[in-house]
Amino acid sequence: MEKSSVTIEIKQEVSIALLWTVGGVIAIAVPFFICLKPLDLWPSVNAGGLTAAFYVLALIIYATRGPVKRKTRVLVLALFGVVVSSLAYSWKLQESQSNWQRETLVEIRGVLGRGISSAVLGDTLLNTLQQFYSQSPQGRHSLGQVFKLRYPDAAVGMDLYKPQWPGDTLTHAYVGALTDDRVVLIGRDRVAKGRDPSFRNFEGAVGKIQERYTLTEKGLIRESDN
Amino acid sequence: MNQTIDPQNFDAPSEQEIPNSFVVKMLCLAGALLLMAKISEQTDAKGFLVPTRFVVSGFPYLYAAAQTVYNGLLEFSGREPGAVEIRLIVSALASLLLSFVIGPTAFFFSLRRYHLTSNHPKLPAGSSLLGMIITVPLVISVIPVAVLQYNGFHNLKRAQAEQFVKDGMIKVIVNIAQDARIFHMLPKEKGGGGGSYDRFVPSSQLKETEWSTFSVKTVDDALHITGTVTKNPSLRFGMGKPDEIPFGRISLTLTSAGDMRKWDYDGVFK
Repeated sequence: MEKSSVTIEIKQEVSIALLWTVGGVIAIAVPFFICLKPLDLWPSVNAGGLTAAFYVLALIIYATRGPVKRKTRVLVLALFGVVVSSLAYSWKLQESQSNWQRETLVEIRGVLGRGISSAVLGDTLLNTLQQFYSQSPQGRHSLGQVFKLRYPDAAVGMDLYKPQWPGDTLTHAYVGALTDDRVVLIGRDRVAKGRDPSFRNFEGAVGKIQERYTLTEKGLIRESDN
Repeated sequence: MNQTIDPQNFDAPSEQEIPNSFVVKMLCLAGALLLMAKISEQTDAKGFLVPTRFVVSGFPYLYAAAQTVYNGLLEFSGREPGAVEIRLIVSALASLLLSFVIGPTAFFFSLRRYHLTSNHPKLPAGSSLLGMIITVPLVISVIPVAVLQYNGFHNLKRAQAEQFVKDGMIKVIVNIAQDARIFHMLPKEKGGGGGSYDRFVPSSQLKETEWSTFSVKTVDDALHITGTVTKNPSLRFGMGKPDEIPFGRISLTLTSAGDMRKWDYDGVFK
């Protein structure tokens, strides 16, 4: 490279650098905003990141052209390759990890929902059964009557679950059936989705976890509706 | 081009590599981006999820990851996923521009300047410093971050797999305890224990699951229920080897009154 052209380049350096900066900002911001989605930042960040990789590559090619030694250029490009590969790996790993965490959180909620149904509804019915068998032979009440003694307001369709704290979104415990020899409680999760997304739940919700507990004098029958 | 060329000054550039005006402009731009990210960060309570230090250290994908996990938490608590907030959008864009435009541009222009002139300054100044502060930590940290991230994800999956198996085992033990309570309260003529857990046997569905087996033992008047891992929990997420079965045991004592007492967690569940 001529000394004169190098001098020109040095004198124009600020303008060229600013031009590169402005160009880079536009090149990254435009795809970033084009790909912006209301609920997900990944498409924007991925588009911006991809453009950024090309920008830095172009910048390296520009900045390491002659009279910069070829050896330096190869070294910088090799380092760029290593950095970009590692960054791309971290990037994609973070994307799959965050999506996995999100899915897992929803799945955990489902496991918790079924466990809570089992504990809350199962215990409610077992306490009824215990009281039923603890009665004296004289003046025995039927299973349904014992349940009504324990829950005087109970009626088919009623939700027996009392939220434990403000904003408690754990479960509903609906009375599904109430006869002398049979009490059915239906546990419907308020949040967690069940196996079938189109399943019609007991009281009109759709697709939520639903567990059914039927108490008879012989014991407890557990069924998973959804 | 109407450039004034002064060959005498060719090998004697000004004291500073790049004029102050350029450095000031770049610093202003960097400062503005950081300020935008900082101001928008104050606007809501989601800050706990977003590691703000990464605005300058250069991992913009963390903002997208924070949004994704935050949406998972919203779904977990029964709310609809939230729209991406302006704060996160600005932070992610600021991070992208700082890490991949401002830092590298300043750095590579300084590198070129360094190679074009023979009169190298002893210490990097101005734009070189700006470029190095932003770019060098990113370049140095990118490989350790990738390794740490891989290990972190692997450990998270393994811990989560163990937690899933643990939760599943607890549910089965609770069901066995409920069945045992029923057996205990049913009179003998109805197939129950008539006030005793003796002869109680869990149903075949509850004796063995995909990940564990369960057994019961009567101790005095109480029933001791034990679940033991029989399959490597990591296999749930496609990791680990089938023959590597870690020791994991959960036990519960059910009193004669039907109370669940003394949950014990051993091995991987401890």
